[in-house]
Amino acid sequence: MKKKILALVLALVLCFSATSFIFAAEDDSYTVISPQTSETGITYCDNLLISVKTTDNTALRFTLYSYPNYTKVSSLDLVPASVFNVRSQFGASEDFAGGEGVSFYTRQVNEIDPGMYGLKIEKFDEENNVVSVNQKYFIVESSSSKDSAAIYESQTAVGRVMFFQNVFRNLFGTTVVDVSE
Amino acid sequence: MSVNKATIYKERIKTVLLVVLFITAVLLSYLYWRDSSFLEIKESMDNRLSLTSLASASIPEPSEFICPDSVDVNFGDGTYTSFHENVREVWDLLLPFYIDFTKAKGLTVEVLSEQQWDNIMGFQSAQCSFCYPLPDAWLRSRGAKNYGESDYFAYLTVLAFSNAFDDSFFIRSSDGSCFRIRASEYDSSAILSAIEDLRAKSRDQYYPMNQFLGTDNTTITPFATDIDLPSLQFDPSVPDQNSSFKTDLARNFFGQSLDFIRTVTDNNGTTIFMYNYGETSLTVYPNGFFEYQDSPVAADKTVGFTEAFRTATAFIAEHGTWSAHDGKTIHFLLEDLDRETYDRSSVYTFRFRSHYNGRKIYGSDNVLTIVVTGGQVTYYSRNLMIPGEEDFSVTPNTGTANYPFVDVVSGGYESIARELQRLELMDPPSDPDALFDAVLEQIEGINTGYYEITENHRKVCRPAWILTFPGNARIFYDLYTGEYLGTIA
Repeated sequence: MKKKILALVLALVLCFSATSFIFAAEDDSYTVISPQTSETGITYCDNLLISVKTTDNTALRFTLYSYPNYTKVSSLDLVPASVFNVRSQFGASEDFAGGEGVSFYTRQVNEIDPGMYGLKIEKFDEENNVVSVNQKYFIVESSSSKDSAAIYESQTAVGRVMFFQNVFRNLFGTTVVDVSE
Repeated sequence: MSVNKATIYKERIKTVLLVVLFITAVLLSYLYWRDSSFLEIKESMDNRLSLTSLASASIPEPSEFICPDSVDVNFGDGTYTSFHENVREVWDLLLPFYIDFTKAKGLTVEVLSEQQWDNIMGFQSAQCSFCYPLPDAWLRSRGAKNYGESDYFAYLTVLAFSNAFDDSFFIRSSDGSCFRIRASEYDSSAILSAIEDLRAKSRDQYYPMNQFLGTDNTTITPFATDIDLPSLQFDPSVPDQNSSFKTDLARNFFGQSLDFIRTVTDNNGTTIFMYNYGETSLTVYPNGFFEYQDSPVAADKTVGFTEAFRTATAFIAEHGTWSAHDGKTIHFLLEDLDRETYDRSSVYTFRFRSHYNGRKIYGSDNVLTIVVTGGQVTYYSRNLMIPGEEDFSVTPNTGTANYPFVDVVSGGYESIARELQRLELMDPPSDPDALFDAVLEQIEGINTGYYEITENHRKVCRPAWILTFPGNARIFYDLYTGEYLGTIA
């Protein structure tokens, strides 16, 4: 009985630790403002704005990746795990040193192709050591494909599905193949 | 015979001399009584002529004073812009599409939620926003058809088009309610093309605040701008206290004869002209500002907005203000509008603000206020700068880049919060980390214009970022240095 309780507690701890890793998407020192996505993880645009708010002298490095094996799906949570394994760096990494108080890192990507992308955010300490790495995935679709009919429909709650899929992905890990040139 | 002729001529000469002497005696007596000089008479005549010429100047069309505060454009592809300086040009381009739309068949009206409005404006769209409630009656006077539902939005603050539903226009009424006006048939290709063409008219990039800085606020926010505004300087012309300026002004309001006008001047140099036991009065201040008040003649009289507005603009034209700044590219636009009822009569209050090249000038002055009660002007005050023609100068910007707006708020949000707290517009959150977002949530508008200060006895209008908060409170920062300039509430 005690072993069962211990196993249950251990499972719950693992679940919520993974959760905290995922949903601190960012830690307290920075917040990704854009790209803003719907609950499906999709942003509709032909020109992308990346905006990240930082506080308290935070040092970050931003790297944008595209995922060439992505094929169109209706929601980020429906992307097969294998797609995440192959990625290509999109442009150069950019370092950003936030000042004291509030600062903003911004980057515009004009004429971005539809597809799946990931923004990797590395945080550095004063000795230039990486102290945390976070990744925000999102799907870009052309602005012309945005459906106005959805304005009159209530949006289904896909968040819970995404939660469990991300938990399992992080629990069991993935091997990422970088195909950047 | 010749003797008689000589006598007649002599008598005639004497008569002429007597007449001349008599007139001279009367004139000298008048001058002695007035304690004036011949030079002052000449100046008085010149001033009277100038006011007379102003009174006969053409009255601008009311449409020249009505213009949105801004037109925010979403190009639908992730790029945005906002028009302020040339908003008149954009408004004149877009308004005819709405007027034409109102003549379409099968118009219906439906109510939208705030969320639906935001979602709709997330598509390719153009929003024309007014800083006062624009009467729908004025749009009808411009040719828009009354499609029978206008009681919902007798006064509107936003007129918009969105490609989310290209068979519709969208209105936000003065009480904040949102509406979609849908046509059964409407060809939107022309307006969509016009919106796309606006891309070439603006170099400045904007984003909704929630996409750029965070929070739920969707106020369009400058991202990258190249706004080139010169600074303005002038020495305000203060009328000579010994001149006939005040009496000439009084004659402009009361007529040439001031025999029945009582005049009172206080120790500060303020002069009050009163007629009919004070029912009509004109107060002229030492700096040239003045206030005119009149009691309503008739009660229970209602006039519509258009008639009241024409009355107001004509009255101002007859009392010499519209043409005061001809040639200086300073012009006036309607800034505020109130409508109420008093003694069963309609009462419209109009406020006009001066602009330079399409940018508003803020300061302690620069406002015309006029009240029309039942079709009669019952109050008029002119409280604005009067630059002398030879003293007005423009100093161009020498290539200095705009101080980024994001740095204004990220570097100044704590002082903004203190200012809002002082004005009782915001209670700072208990969590200091939430203060930045709390300040952003209060911003209702971001614009550029001028803030007037006094430097070395001269009036200087400095280019400024203008942040608008609830209650029309505004905080100003220098457009090029980010320096705090002032607050008007």
